[in-house]
Amino acid sequence: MATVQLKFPGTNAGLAGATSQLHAFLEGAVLAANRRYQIELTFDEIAGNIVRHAHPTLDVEVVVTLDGPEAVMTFVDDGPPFDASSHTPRALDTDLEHAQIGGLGIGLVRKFATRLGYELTPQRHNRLTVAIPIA
Amino acid sequence: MKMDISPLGERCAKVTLEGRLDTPAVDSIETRFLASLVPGASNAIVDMSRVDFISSMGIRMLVSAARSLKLRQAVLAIYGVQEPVVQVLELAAIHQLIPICNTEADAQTAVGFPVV
Repeated sequence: MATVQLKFPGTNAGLAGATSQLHAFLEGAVLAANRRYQIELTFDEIAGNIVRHAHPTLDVEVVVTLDGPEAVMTFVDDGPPFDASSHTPRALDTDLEHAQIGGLGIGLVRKFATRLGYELTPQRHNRLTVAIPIA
Repeated sequence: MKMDISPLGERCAKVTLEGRLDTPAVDSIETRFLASLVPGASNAIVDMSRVDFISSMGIRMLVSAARSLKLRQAVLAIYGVQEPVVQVLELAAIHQLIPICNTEADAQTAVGFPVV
Protein backbone atom coordinates (compact mmCIF):
# COMPACT_ATOMS: atom_id res chain seq x y z
CA MET A 1 0.00 0.00 0.00
CA ALA A 2 1.24 3.49 -0.85
CA THR A 3 -0.29 6.78 0.21
CA VAL A 4 0.24 10.46 -0.52
CA GLN A 5 -1.38 13.26 1.45
CA LEU A 6 -1.81 16.59 -0.27
CA LYS A 7 -2.79 19.77 1.56
CA PHE A 8 -2.99 22.98 -0.41
CA PRO A 9 -4.66 26.40 -0.50
CA GLY A 10 -7.81 26.58 -2.61
CA THR A 11 -6.14 28.57 -5.36
CA ASN A 12 -4.87 27.74 -8.82
CA ALA A 13 -1.30 28.05 -7.55
CA GLY A 14 -2.11 25.66 -4.72
CA LEU A 15 -3.73 23.25 -7.16
CA ALA A 16 -0.72 23.42 -9.49
CA GLY A 17 1.66 22.55 -6.65
CA ALA A 18 -0.49 19.63 -5.52
CA THR A 19 -0.76 18.39 -9.11
CA SER A 20 3.04 18.23 -9.31
CA GLN A 21 3.21 16.37 -6.00
CA LEU A 22 0.64 13.81 -7.14
CA HIS A 23 2.41 13.38 -10.47
CA ALA A 24 5.72 12.66 -8.71
CA PHE A 25 4.03 10.16 -6.37
CA LEU A 26 2.41 8.29 -9.26
CA GLU A 27 5.66 8.27 -11.26
CA GLY A 28 7.14 6.21 -8.44
CA ALA A 29 4.29 3.74 -8.34
CA VAL A 30 3.91 0.58 -10.38
CA LEU A 31 0.83 1.50 -12.38
CA ALA A 32 -0.36 1.15 -15.95
CA ALA A 33 -0.15 4.46 -17.79
CA ASN A 34 -3.92 4.65 -18.34
CA ARG A 35 -4.61 4.11 -14.63
CA ARG A 36 -2.12 6.83 -13.72
CA TYR A 37 -3.89 9.13 -16.16
CA GLN A 38 -7.29 8.33 -14.65
CA ILE A 39 -6.08 9.15 -11.14
CA GLU A 40 -4.59 12.45 -12.30
CA LEU A 41 -7.74 13.25 -14.27
CA THR A 42 -9.95 12.54 -11.25
CA PHE A 43 -7.74 14.77 -9.14
CA ASP A 44 -7.94 17.64 -11.62
CA GLU A 45 -11.71 17.32 -12.04
CA ILE A 46 -12.62 17.11 -8.36
CA ALA A 47 -9.94 19.38 -6.88
CA GLY A 48 -10.38 21.82 -9.77
CA ASN A 49 -14.11 22.03 -9.05
CA ILE A 50 -13.38 22.71 -5.39
CA VAL A 51 -10.94 25.50 -6.23
CA ARG A 52 -13.13 27.12 -8.89
CA HIS A 53 -16.57 26.75 -7.31
CA ALA A 54 -16.36 26.03 -3.56
CA HIS A 55 -13.87 28.78 -2.67
CA PRO A 56 -12.69 27.01 0.50
CA THR A 57 -11.25 29.10 3.31
CA LEU A 58 -9.20 26.25 4.78
CA ASP A 59 -6.65 24.17 2.87
CA VAL A 60 -8.04 21.45 0.64
CA GLU A 61 -6.96 18.00 1.82
CA VAL A 62 -6.60 15.07 -0.57
CA VAL A 63 -5.41 11.58 0.28
CA VAL A 64 -4.60 9.09 -2.48
CA THR A 65 -4.06 5.48 -1.45
CA LEU A 66 -2.99 2.72 -3.82
CA ASP A 67 -4.27 -0.38 -2.14
CA GLY A 68 -4.34 -3.68 -4.02
CA PRO A 69 -6.84 -3.56 -6.88
CA GLU A 70 -7.94 0.03 -6.43
CA ALA A 71 -6.88 3.61 -5.85
CA VAL A 72 -8.95 5.38 -3.23
CA MET A 73 -9.00 9.18 -3.35
CA THR A 74 -10.52 11.29 -0.57
CA PHE A 75 -11.16 15.01 -1.00
CA VAL A 76 -12.04 17.24 1.96
CA ASP A 77 -12.95 20.92 1.73
CA ASP A 78 -14.84 23.47 3.80
CA GLY A 79 -16.82 25.02 0.93
CA PRO A 80 -20.62 25.02 0.80
CA PRO A 81 -22.10 21.50 1.04
CA PHE A 82 -22.06 19.82 -2.37
CA ASP A 83 -22.67 16.15 -3.02
CA ALA A 84 -20.80 15.44 -6.24
CA SER A 85 -21.66 11.74 -5.96
CA SER A 86 -25.35 12.46 -6.63
CA HIS A 87 -24.69 14.96 -9.42
CA THR A 88 -26.19 13.73 -12.68
CA PRO A 89 -23.74 14.11 -15.58
CA ARG A 90 -25.13 16.14 -18.42
CA ALA A 91 -25.71 14.68 -21.88
CA LEU A 92 -22.82 14.94 -24.32
CA ASP A 93 -23.15 17.45 -27.13
CA THR A 94 -23.58 16.48 -30.75
CA ASP A 95 -23.93 19.96 -32.24
CA LEU A 96 -21.13 22.50 -31.87
CA GLU A 97 -23.33 25.55 -32.39
CA HIS A 98 -25.45 24.64 -29.37
CA ALA A 99 -22.75 22.94 -27.31
CA GLN A 100 -22.69 23.66 -23.61
CA ILE A 101 -19.41 25.00 -22.32
CA GLY A 102 -18.14 23.00 -19.36
CA GLY A 103 -19.89 20.58 -17.03
CA LEU A 104 -18.10 17.45 -18.29
CA GLY A 105 -15.84 16.74 -15.31
CA ILE A 106 -17.98 14.54 -13.08
CA GLY A 107 -19.19 12.65 -16.13
CA LEU A 108 -15.61 11.83 -17.11
CA VAL A 109 -14.82 10.60 -13.59
CA ARG A 110 -17.92 8.40 -13.63
CA LYS A 111 -16.67 6.69 -16.80
CA PHE A 112 -14.04 4.79 -14.84
CA ALA A 113 -14.72 5.26 -11.11
CA THR A 114 -16.29 2.24 -9.42
CA ARG A 115 -17.44 4.11 -6.32
CA LEU A 116 -18.27 7.70 -5.43
CA GLY A 117 -19.28 8.43 -1.85
CA TYR A 118 -20.15 11.71 -0.16
CA GLU A 119 -20.36 12.68 3.48
CA LEU A 120 -20.89 16.00 5.22
CA THR A 121 -18.60 15.72 8.24
CA PRO A 122 -19.60 16.86 11.76
CA GLN A 123 -17.41 19.94 11.08
CA ARG A 124 -19.63 20.54 8.00
CA HIS A 125 -16.78 19.80 5.62
CA ASN A 126 -17.39 18.02 2.32
CA ARG A 127 -15.73 14.62 2.12
CA LEU A 128 -15.86 12.94 -1.29
CA THR A 129 -14.39 9.49 -1.81
CA VAL A 130 -13.64 8.10 -5.27
CA ALA A 131 -12.41 4.58 -6.02
CA ILE A 132 -10.69 3.71 -9.28
CA PRO A 133 -9.66 0.18 -10.27
CA ILE A 134 -5.91 -0.14 -10.88
CA ALA A 135 -5.41 -3.89 -11.14
CA MET B 1 1.93 24.84 -20.39
CA LYS B 2 3.57 26.61 -23.29
CA MET B 3 1.53 28.17 -26.08
CA ASP B 4 2.71 29.66 -29.35
CA ILE B 5 0.34 31.33 -31.81
CA SER B 6 1.47 32.27 -35.30
CA PRO B 7 -0.34 33.41 -38.43
CA LEU B 8 -0.79 30.91 -41.22
CA GLY B 9 -1.90 32.94 -44.19
CA GLU B 10 -4.42 35.76 -44.05
CA ARG B 11 -7.25 34.24 -42.09
CA CYS B 12 -5.73 31.26 -40.35
CA ALA B 13 -3.66 30.78 -37.22
CA LYS B 14 -1.56 27.91 -35.97
CA VAL B 15 -1.51 27.28 -32.25
CA THR B 16 1.12 25.02 -30.73
CA LEU B 17 0.48 23.76 -27.21
CA GLU B 18 3.01 21.93 -25.07
CA GLY B 19 2.53 20.35 -21.65
CA ARG B 20 -0.56 19.60 -19.58
CA LEU B 21 -3.93 21.08 -20.49
CA ASP B 22 -5.37 20.88 -16.97
CA THR B 23 -7.14 23.33 -14.68
CA PRO B 24 -4.09 25.44 -13.68
CA ALA B 25 -2.80 25.54 -17.27
CA VAL B 26 -6.13 26.60 -18.76
CA ASP B 27 -6.39 29.31 -16.14
CA SER B 28 -3.08 30.70 -17.36
CA ILE B 29 -3.62 30.53 -21.15
CA GLU B 30 -7.36 30.60 -21.88
CA THR B 31 -7.76 34.37 -22.09
CA ARG B 32 -4.90 34.75 -24.58
CA PHE B 33 -5.99 31.66 -26.54
CA LEU B 34 -9.52 32.98 -27.06
CA ALA B 35 -8.49 36.60 -27.56
CA SER B 36 -6.00 35.63 -30.24
CA LEU B 37 -8.47 33.65 -32.32
CA VAL B 38 -12.07 34.68 -31.77
CA PRO B 39 -12.26 38.45 -32.39
CA GLY B 40 -10.48 38.12 -35.75
CA ALA B 41 -12.57 35.09 -36.68
CA SER B 42 -9.41 33.22 -37.63
CA ASN B 43 -9.61 29.65 -38.75
CA ALA B 44 -7.34 27.80 -36.38
CA ILE B 45 -5.35 24.60 -36.35
CA VAL B 46 -4.04 23.43 -32.99
CA ASP B 47 -0.95 21.22 -32.74
CA MET B 48 -1.64 18.88 -29.81
CA SER B 49 1.32 16.56 -30.41
CA ARG B 50 3.14 17.79 -27.30
CA VAL B 51 0.09 17.81 -25.02
CA ASP B 52 0.34 14.76 -22.77
CA PHE B 53 -2.68 15.42 -20.53
CA ILE B 54 -6.10 16.98 -20.94
CA SER B 55 -8.96 17.35 -18.48
CA SER B 56 -12.45 18.77 -18.89
CA MET B 57 -11.08 22.30 -18.50
CA GLY B 58 -8.86 21.82 -21.54
CA ILE B 59 -11.80 20.40 -23.47
CA ARG B 60 -13.90 23.36 -22.39
CA MET B 61 -11.31 25.80 -23.75
CA LEU B 62 -11.18 24.07 -27.13
CA VAL B 63 -14.97 23.75 -27.47
CA SER B 64 -15.48 27.34 -26.36
CA ALA B 65 -13.11 28.59 -29.05
CA ALA B 66 -14.53 26.28 -31.72
CA ARG B 67 -18.12 27.31 -30.96
CA SER B 68 -17.31 31.03 -30.99
CA LEU B 69 -15.44 30.62 -34.28
CA LYS B 70 -18.30 28.66 -35.84
CA LEU B 71 -20.65 31.53 -35.05
CA ARG B 72 -18.21 33.71 -37.05
CA GLN B 73 -18.04 31.24 -39.96
CA ALA B 74 -14.58 30.02 -38.96
CA VAL B 75 -13.33 26.55 -38.04
CA LEU B 76 -10.98 25.15 -35.40
CA ALA B 77 -9.32 21.77 -35.94
CA ILE B 78 -6.82 19.89 -33.78
CA TYR B 79 -4.17 17.43 -34.90
CA GLY B 80 -1.38 15.15 -33.73
CA VAL B 81 -3.25 14.19 -30.56
CA GLN B 82 -1.48 11.66 -28.31
CA GLU B 83 -3.32 8.41 -27.58
CA PRO B 84 -4.19 9.02 -23.88
CA VAL B 85 -5.58 12.43 -24.78
CA VAL B 86 -7.55 10.96 -27.69
CA GLN B 87 -9.20 8.53 -25.27
CA VAL B 88 -10.44 11.37 -23.06
CA LEU B 89 -11.69 13.33 -26.07
CA GLU B 90 -13.58 10.22 -27.21
CA LEU B 91 -15.16 9.77 -23.77
CA ALA B 92 -16.49 13.31 -24.09
CA ALA B 93 -17.52 12.76 -27.75
CA ILE B 94 -15.49 15.78 -28.84
CA HIS B 95 -14.93 14.26 -32.27
CA GLN B 96 -18.58 15.15 -32.94
CA LEU B 97 -17.82 18.84 -32.35
CA ILE B 98 -14.24 19.46 -33.49
CA PRO B 99 -12.29 17.89 -36.37
CA ILE B 100 -9.54 15.69 -34.89
CA CYS B 101 -6.93 15.20 -37.61
CA ASN B 102 -3.81 13.10 -37.88
CA THR B 103 -1.52 15.59 -39.56
CA GLU B 104 -1.10 19.32 -39.95
CA ALA B 105 -1.98 19.02 -43.63
CA ASP B 106 -5.24 17.25 -42.72
CA ALA B 107 -6.05 19.99 -40.23
CA GLN B 108 -5.37 22.68 -42.82
CA THR B 109 -7.74 20.93 -45.19
CA ALA B 110 -10.37 20.66 -42.43
CA VAL B 111 -10.37 24.43 -41.91
CA GLY B 112 -10.31 25.17 -45.63
CA PHE B 113 -6.80 26.53 -45.71
CA PRO B 114 -5.37 26.29 -49.22
CA VAL B 115 -2.63 23.66 -49.18
CA VAL B 116 -0.02 24.41 -51.83
